[in-house]
Amino acid sequence: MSHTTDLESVRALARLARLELSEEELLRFAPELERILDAFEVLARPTPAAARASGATPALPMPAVARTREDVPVPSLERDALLSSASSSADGFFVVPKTVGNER
Amino acid sequence: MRRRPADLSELDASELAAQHARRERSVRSTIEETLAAIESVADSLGAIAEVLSEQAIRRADTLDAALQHDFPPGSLCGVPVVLKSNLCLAGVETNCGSRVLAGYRPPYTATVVERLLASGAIPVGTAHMDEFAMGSSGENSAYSVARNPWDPERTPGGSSSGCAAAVAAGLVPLALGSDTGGSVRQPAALCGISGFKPTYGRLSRAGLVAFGSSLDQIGFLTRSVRDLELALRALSGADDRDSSSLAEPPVEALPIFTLQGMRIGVPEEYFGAGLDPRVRKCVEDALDELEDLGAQPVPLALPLTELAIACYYVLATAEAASNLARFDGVRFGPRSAGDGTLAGMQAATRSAGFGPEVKRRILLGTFVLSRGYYDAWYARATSVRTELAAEFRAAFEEVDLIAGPTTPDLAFRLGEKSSDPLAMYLSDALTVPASLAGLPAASVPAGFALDDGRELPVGLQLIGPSGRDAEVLAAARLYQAATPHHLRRPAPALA
Repeated sequence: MSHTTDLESVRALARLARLELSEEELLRFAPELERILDAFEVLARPTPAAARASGATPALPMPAVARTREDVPVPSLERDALLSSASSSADGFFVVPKTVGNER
Repeated sequence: MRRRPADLSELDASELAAQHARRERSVRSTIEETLAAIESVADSLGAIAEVLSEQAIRRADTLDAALQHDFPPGSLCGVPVVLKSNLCLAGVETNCGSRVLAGYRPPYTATVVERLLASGAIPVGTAHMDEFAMGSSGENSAYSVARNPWDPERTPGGSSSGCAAAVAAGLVPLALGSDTGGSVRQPAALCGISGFKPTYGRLSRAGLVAFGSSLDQIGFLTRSVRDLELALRALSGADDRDSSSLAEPPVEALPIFTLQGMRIGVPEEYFGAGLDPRVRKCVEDALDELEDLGAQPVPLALPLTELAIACYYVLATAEAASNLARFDGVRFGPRSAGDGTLAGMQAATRSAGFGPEVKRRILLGTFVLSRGYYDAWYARATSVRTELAAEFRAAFEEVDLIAGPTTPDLAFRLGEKSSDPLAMYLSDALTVPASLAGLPAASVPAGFALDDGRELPVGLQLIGPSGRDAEVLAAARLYQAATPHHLRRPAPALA
């Protein structure tokens, strides 16, 4: 099982995860991730073939039935109550930085 | 002649609710005494995040008035309860131990908390926890590190650290926590109290802030197993707000039950080299006790246990990386401006808001889901999980329950493992297998061991087949009825 956890790779992971890491954090996390992934290489160890050959693996090991409720209208949360948790809102909307013409 | 009211910290929730129902004790006096006790250890214990004095007193008075008018009491009538800070109660700060949710007051209440209130329980406070339930010591809280009442220099365990410390210190008889990989059972074991993680789907998770959705379960921490049964009956049952909740009625406690002839599997892998010999001794004594009660121990092999930690941390971090993407400064919590772009604002908010362990897990989860690595890591872990669940199912063809230690170690010192994430992860080695397979599992006090002059609690874990929550708890109750360990209380050193 391959993995690379050099500084550039960890910086790229942070970008994917929408995290800005300081140099200090990068220098801390890179070797830690390396050590953790090295230990987790145990997952490559062969396991009983029967279960592996049983086709696509479900995300849950137990029967999962997504139950649906009856299709009848029920009250939903008040818009203003939801917006009150945001750090910035106006006129019934969440306010975010300009997204078009201001890309990074 | 009226009996003299017993010390509150000696009563379990069942007895306390009964005393309220019989009007031998007013709910108001219970709540006032509880609030005073919380106040007296606020700084030394570090367990309670927000004390809900006003609303607790208000609810107490309402209940007392209702009892006066002979309204039928709920099963948790007047029982003071602490909620882990990832369970929503409308209007109460639910910050999950994270700065990214500082000041977040949800506009709705979790289904289990609604059911708690409907049963007459009274939330008296929220509890500190490892940030987003990621940790095994409580040290990953952005706000307060809870202490173990048996030795304040040590961890109460995690991530339901404040909940366990509050129950063990005698502040409340019941706390609601969450258990993704052991976060209820491990702190219950390290604090000498009872803890239970139900079958996956048994309790609605509507209003529980998500960490690893295929693993998360709400669980309880109590002074007695009968309280675990009481809470399970009050809070379980299908919920339209959570499509993953089981379409089954609430779980009734099994009134008549015997351990006679019950086959209890003892996996050799749970007693491996990493197990502290003092823990081993207590758990072996517990197994002898179960045998004396009529159970039949059966040696068992669960070889995939060795892969469980790696499997769990790959899956849990992948799910966390996805679940925590919602904390981006738009809908909840404080925002950092960043460079003025949307992506910059999101990255700056998340970087300022998340602590090191959460960042570490988001990075790990992002890695195992990333192109080129997904099959080797995430898909492989999913496959191992399926095999591990099949291994349990095969074992339960041979045995009725599985027993072993809850944790490999005694409560460790605060700071002892905080700089070594892998060592911290390994403390979950015995709790993650049941989580991966979605099985019901309880931890009950199984004795004490000396470490550096301190007596520290040890937990016995009982794991059952999927859906057999009542059997796990009934066996735990019978064990508890025959042993004195759960009756011991720590010295009030933290007062």
